[in-house]
Amino acid sequence: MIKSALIIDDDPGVIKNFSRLLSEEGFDVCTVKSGKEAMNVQRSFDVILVDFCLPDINGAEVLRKISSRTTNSVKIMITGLTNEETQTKMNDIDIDAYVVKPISPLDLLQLIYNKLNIKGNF
Amino acid sequence: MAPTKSSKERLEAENQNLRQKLSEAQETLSAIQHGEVDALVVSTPEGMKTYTLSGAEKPYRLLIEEMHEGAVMLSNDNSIIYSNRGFAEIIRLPQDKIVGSRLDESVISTHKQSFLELLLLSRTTQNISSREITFISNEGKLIPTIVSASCIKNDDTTITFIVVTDLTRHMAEDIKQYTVRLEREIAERKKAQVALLERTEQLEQTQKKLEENAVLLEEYSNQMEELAKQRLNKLKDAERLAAIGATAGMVGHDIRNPLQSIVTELYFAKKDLKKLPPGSNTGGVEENLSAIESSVTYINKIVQDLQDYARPINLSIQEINLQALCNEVLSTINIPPNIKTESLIAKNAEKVTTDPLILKRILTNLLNNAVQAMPSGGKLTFNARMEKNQAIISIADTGEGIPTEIREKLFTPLITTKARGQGFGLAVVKRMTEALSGTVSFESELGKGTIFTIKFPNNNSKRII
Repeated sequence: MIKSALIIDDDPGVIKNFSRLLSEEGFDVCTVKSGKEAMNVQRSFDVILVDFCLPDINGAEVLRKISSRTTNSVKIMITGLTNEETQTKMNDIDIDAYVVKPISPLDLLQLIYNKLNIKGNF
Repeated sequence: MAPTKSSKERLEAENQNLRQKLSEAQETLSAIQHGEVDALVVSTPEGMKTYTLSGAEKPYRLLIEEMHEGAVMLSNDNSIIYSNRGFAEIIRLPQDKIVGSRLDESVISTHKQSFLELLLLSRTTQNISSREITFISNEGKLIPTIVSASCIKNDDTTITFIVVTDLTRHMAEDIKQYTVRLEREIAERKKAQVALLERTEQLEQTQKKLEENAVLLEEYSNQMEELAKQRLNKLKDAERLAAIGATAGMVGHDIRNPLQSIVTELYFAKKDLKKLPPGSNTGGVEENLSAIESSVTYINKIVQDLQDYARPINLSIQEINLQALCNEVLSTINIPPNIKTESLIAKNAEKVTTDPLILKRILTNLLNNAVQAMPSGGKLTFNARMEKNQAIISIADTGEGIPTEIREKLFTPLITTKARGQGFGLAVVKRMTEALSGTVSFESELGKGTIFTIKFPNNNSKRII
């Protein structure tokens, strides 16, 4: 069965790359550039990659707003920040993992598959 | 024998004379009865005689006798006919010895002339005159007085009446009052003096306290100045840090995104490369990609350092095995084969209470620096030991040494010593070592190498830097 993925990031390069990375892995990929756009997507996904720093609301807020549709999703927060404050925030958010950019594509894929397995989606 | 006319006439005349005298006597008697007469002067064959009436005389006599002033009666030749008790007391002689003596003999010589003039004046003008006259008492004491003299003339006799006012008695009274006043004043002054003394003492104490306070204030002021300097420096550091923090935030977001793209593009490029048929001419693209990859790793390290430097350090203190930690760090460092490594970890370097993650970052940075300092190989010496409850770790290289001109600013961020800068590495080391309440120092010799040494205590308290 084809897995679906939602990429929420405002950086066109990242969207393009992650989109290709996951598409080549056979994912059905949907990309949005802001929190608002993410809220407008009325479907659920197996995997959600969300950037913490978005132009309107932050990644944590986005996840909270769309939480009704993401109960079974693998949620991975990707952030450019490494300070402890952000790390502490991550602990309070219902996510499966958080990674710091730049993450090696192989590591990211491995992480996604691991989390899908744990959740029984794979 | 019948009385003759002449005898009858004589008898009648005599009768007339007797009637006259009786009338006078009756008049006198009446006057006496009405208190109009104090004394009678009667002609006797021995001359005029004065009869005083005791009832009338007594009050006057008493007055004269008892008054404080001296009262003296003088005859024409200045001899004393009468002296009251007052004068006897002034002159210190019994009354009976005074009567008959000459008053002017008791006057001091310098006043005698003046006294005689006074007597003369009173006798000629019959007015009451007075002068200041000093007497000499029987005991030889000088007695200043005011002498008033008046004269009563009676036919051929003149009586001079003298009143002597003892000034010493008045003066004594004055002195007494004055003394009382003086004593009161002295008492008041003494009281004031005591109060003044107390006040002076208080003032001295206050002054002493003030002086002590001044010393304290100066010390305090110096401390404050020192503190202000420290604060200012800290503030400057904080400002610098804040600026770096802002930069770090920007860098975090704006550099990590393109870095992510580069990393992923590299992944695709390699993947695409693998899709080429075996034996295809890739023209060294693989090497190019590897070079790009290592550059990206380096950029990522700089970003990491920058963010490390700017972020607050929350220590997580725990007891660790220093020996094990050092070995672990050494194993993660990529040491080229042309660098010989010698590790001397003392057996006592075991239990240390500190933040292991921070310590690892410090050692990693220092070891990487040492490796980078020896591009054409050399010897890396790692030394760890415990001394007086303090961990001492030194990392020595045999590289080129640190140029003299940049040694002073070595731990300041954004100082670049190499073509490929190590902008934040040592600044992070310093910041993190200080977070462990430790110090970092170095010795360097051009052409021979550099030794970095960190010292940090067994730290049981948690701090946030």
